[in-house]
Amino acid sequence: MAIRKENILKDYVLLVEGKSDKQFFEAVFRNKADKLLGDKTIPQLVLVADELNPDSGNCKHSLIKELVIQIDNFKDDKLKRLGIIVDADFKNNNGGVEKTMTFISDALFNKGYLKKEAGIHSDSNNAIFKGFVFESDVGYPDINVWIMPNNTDDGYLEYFIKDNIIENKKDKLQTSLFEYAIECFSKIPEYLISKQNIQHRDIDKSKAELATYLAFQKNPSYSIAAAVNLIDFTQLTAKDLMDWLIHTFPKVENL
Amino acid sequence: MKPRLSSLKIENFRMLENLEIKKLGNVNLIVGKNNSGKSTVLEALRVYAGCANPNLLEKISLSHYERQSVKAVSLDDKNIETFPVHYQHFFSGRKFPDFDSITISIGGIDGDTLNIHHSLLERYEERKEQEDGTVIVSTQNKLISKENYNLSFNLNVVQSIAVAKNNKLMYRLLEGMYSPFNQQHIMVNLDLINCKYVSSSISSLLMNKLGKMWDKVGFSSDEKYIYEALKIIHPDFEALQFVASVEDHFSQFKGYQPNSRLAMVKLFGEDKKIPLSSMGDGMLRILSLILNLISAKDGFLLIDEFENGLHYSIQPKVWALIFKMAKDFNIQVFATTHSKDCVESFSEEVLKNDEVEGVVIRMSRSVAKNNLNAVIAIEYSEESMTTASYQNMEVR
Repeated sequence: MAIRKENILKDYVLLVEGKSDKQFFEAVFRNKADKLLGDKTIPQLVLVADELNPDSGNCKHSLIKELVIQIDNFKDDKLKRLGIIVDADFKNNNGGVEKTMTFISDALFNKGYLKKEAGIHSDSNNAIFKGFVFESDVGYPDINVWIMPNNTDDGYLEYFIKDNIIENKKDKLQTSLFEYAIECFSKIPEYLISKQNIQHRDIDKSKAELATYLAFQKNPSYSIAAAVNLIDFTQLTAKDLMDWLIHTFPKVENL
Repeated sequence: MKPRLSSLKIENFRMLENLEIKKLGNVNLIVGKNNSGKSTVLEALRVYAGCANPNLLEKISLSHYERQSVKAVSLDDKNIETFPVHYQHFFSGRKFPDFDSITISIGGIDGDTLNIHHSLLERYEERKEQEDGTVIVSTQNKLISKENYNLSFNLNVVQSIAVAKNNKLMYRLLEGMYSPFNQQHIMVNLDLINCKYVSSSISSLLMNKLGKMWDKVGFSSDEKYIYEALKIIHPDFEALQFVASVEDHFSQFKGYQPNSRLAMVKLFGEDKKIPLSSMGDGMLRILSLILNLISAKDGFLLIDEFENGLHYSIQPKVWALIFKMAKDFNIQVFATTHSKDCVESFSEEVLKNDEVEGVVIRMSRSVAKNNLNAVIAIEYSEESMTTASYQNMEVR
């Protein structure tokens, strides 16, 4: 039996920062295909991080370089939809929601894009979605931006996953497992931490908690993509993100 | 190393109604689909470099078979046989503009511009009375506005083509006085830029031309570039010679133009000389590229469809040599391509080379509401070539 290859829509581009973000969102498009673009159809996920210098500042600089190239592709319709998902990061790490938004707004302003005021938007089908929308002054498609974890708080993709699992009261088992993973990680003795040379950076801690939680699953996994099936995309900010993805990347027949 | 042209603006030239390329490098690779305007950019650069001199315009017209269409575009009962009516093909829409303000303009965004104007002149008699009472009558011309004039009403009105560089008139052709091979009408020294054009076709008919170029290069220090280039294709290459060709059996056919020169190659370890043309298109193509590069010193080299005859595996070495020669000979290179491999090998060289700047220019059609369907150019400089988006770019 012939296996149908995955259809990557080259004129739908989602810019993401890191390798784990790429894996996570590829899994979202694959596992939630019925809601999103359909069976074996995903947008082109472009990784902007500089793997050798994964610093927040470097990532944002790479993001701007990628954005400029992508927006030029709107000029001749080589690109039809562009979404950006970035981490807010934290103020003490040269980040934070406001700073990230200013960085993106400035870059987009230079390419003729202005941010729409409201935080809640509706599309041509009156579907409501949250996130940031930038509008072109010459009629190119809007650019939608989602700042992890929820467009309001500082943090990362790992916070988005944690919040949506812990705060989802429908699945008490998963909530308890995540809380237990956090507790386990907090109890690791100090001498082991220093022997392992574990950094106490927040990003490392949140990655470690998530990895611990994923280790408690029936099929333990190292990959962040495994979290996709544990999140309820009909609740909380996961629902907002799903609405954002549906709006940003409409099924081709609805474009 | 500063390129001669650091940007390019072309207006009303064939399909390029308003094209801006904000950044040019020393070596520029133009990509895009068929009919996207790539070759038209090269042609505009030829016209710019040659100051739109009548012989060049004539040569280009002939190559497009536009010269033949003079009778088909008959203009009233004017003397169309001698006026360059076929020059209208150079203007957007293939017709002379309706307004005086619309001219062909080619040059940098910030100046150094060549303009080709089509205008109407009214002939009148000027009478000057001398001190001794005699009257001298001379025919003078004055420019009249096209907007308010209907050509067929006045037989004293003639069309003219004027070419100006940086607003300085280079020459003017008047209806009825033009012969393509008569340059008497050229009024000033043209500000010419050395420019060589390598067309997309690979034909051994080029041999005579290449032979003439070789005569200037053989035994000079520049010969080493030819040897380096031919070794890229054939590592056993040892020596090149141009010899007089013997007549072949095709010479009996009417109209056949035999090559009087023939490139012969000697390979290491071989006693016999081999005709270069028999060694594949690559050898002829690369010989043509390098001889033209050497001849384009201090000017422009224009290459149509760079990849023709060159296997993708050798393209990185060819680009490396072109970048080196662009620097050594102070040349600004413009090449077109349809090939993704060619863009990749070019980009690799751009990222490796710190001295010579390379830019990729993608030609396309705009979808912006204020510029719908116009030919546009999108530039990619070294910084953008490291991005994932550039590497995913579709060039076809």
